Amino acid sequence: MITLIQNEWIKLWSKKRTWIFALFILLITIGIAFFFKSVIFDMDAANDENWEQDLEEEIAVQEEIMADEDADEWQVENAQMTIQQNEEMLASGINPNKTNNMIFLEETFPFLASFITLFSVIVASSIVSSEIDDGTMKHLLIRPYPRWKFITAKLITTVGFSLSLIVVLLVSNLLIGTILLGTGSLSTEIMVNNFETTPYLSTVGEVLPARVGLYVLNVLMFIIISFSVSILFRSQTLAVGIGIFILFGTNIAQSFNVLLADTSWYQYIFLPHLSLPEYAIRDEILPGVGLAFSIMVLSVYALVFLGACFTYFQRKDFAE
Amino acid sequence: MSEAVLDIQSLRKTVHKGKNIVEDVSFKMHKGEILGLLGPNGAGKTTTIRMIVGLIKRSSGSVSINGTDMDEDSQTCKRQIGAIVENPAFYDYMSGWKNLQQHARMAIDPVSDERMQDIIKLVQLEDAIHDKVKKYSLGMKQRLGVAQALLHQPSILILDEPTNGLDPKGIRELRDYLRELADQGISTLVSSHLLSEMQLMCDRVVIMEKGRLIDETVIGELDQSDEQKVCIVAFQCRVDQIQEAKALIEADSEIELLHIEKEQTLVLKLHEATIPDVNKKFVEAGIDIYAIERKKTTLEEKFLSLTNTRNMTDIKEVQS
Repeated sequence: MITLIQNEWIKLWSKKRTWIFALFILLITIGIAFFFKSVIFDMDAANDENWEQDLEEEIAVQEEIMADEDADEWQVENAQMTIQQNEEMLASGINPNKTNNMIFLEETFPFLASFITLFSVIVASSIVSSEIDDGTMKHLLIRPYPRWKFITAKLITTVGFSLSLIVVLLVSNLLIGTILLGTGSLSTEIMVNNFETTPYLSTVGEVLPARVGLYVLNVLMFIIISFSVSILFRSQTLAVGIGIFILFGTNIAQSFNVLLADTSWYQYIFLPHLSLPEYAIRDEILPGVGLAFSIMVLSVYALVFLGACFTYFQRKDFAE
Repeated sequence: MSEAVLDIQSLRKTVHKGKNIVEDVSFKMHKGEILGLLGPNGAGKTTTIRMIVGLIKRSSGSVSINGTDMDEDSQTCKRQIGAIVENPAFYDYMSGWKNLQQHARMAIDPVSDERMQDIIKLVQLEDAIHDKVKKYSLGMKQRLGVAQALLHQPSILILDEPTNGLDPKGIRELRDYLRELADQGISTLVSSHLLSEMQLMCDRVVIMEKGRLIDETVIGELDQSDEQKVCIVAFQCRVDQIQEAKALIEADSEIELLHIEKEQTLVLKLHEATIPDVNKKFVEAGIDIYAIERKKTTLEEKFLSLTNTRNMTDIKEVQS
């Protein structure tokens, strides 16, 4: 088994594509860091001693909006949120313009990681089907190993690939963040705004590990779905397509969450649960649906997908 | 003959709708023998070979290798097989050497670097072995395929249509390799629809048509220019004498009338040595012969007489 995984790993990294994916993660991380430094984070303001005054000014502006009788409901809500947030920051002495490598990592991880999900979907979809298309699969299957070992090795290799990219992302992000934005620590305080409850104060150390850990589970699920679909439907294109659809679908699903949250079946669909990293900042993604339930639903789907694809592959006739 | 290294018993493959694409195929291959599996396209050769190597599940029947049943211990059986199924397929983004390493790692008994070098020398790829496979010509890929199949020192080599896409030089080289291997005691099963090649390459052929085994021939016997040699000869006579001539031939059990061309030519299957006698017989009966023409040669005529004229003649009678 180790031999087969070793073989798969060598094959994977012998492809240019794999290196391009890794390089892309590296470059976009660096690019984003420069973008953040020059556009998002106002470095001059960070050194400005008058940040408290700025926050108070903003509160004043928002209060005017609330006082305005013509203001729309959303404007009022928005104003309320901002006021609350600013007051909270004032109370705990957080300078919103102040930044460091930890805040940068916390803020950019979800965006950067979505590329890893995309690349993982592509690799998972093609790792079996490309070998079937190229005709190399049959030369594997005639060797003295049971079939399931070959696809297990491929699945493990894909997971290894995703984990490697996550490591590349974290390391490069911390490095460039430190260089450009300075050192922070895990106890750096941040405001968490999840658009549901009121913004609350937390630390990077509380949110980030959970975010990364949940992301790993999430990407694993993406891998399992794309991998199984590519085998079951014998189509690389379809599997990549479905993978990407689900990737965007989870975002779309979030907007359906409100609409469908009351139906009895929606919580048993895997789509809303595929935004696991959300649990880093909130306890429920749907009313009454917590992390444990989400993981349970996803596990059931994972088992069904894998069961179907292994059974199919074990019995398949390689006739063409 | 020595004991069979490969023993195929009543192989059958039923596809959907209950159609048998391979039915009741049994044959044996002996040590050091080059056995041809000959038949027109769609005869079931590839299906048969894929059932032997386990790419296609057998509907019924058994395969045993050196006395071990495939169902009982497929790993032991498979490690004794080296195969190229249809075209040799490689990871063309890796070098020939790395491709061979992939297969070397999968071998149950370790393959030394020396063994790799030896096999590369055998197939004369020393100069190109570190080039990427995508730069290889078809002939080179074919040779790399042979190297890959032989790397783990199997006792049986199985080649499915190995001459596809090879130029005459490549075909001759392949033939020489196989002969060399046979001298070392390696048995080869090779499938093809090309008669002339099988005749040159094989010690014995089994002929398949429409999923069934229809004949078994030892090539040596065909090549012998002795009295037993069977050939197909066309005797051209006058239209008004054709019935007379036909009656004459039908009276002789040694000669078989295959068919009549253009109402004036009798196409006969007979032993070569009896051609003058037949001619004499016609002359004595007062039938004027305008032309005597040899049709096709050896295996080809046998093959044609077996397959194309099946409706006219009973296969059992054709077998000599």
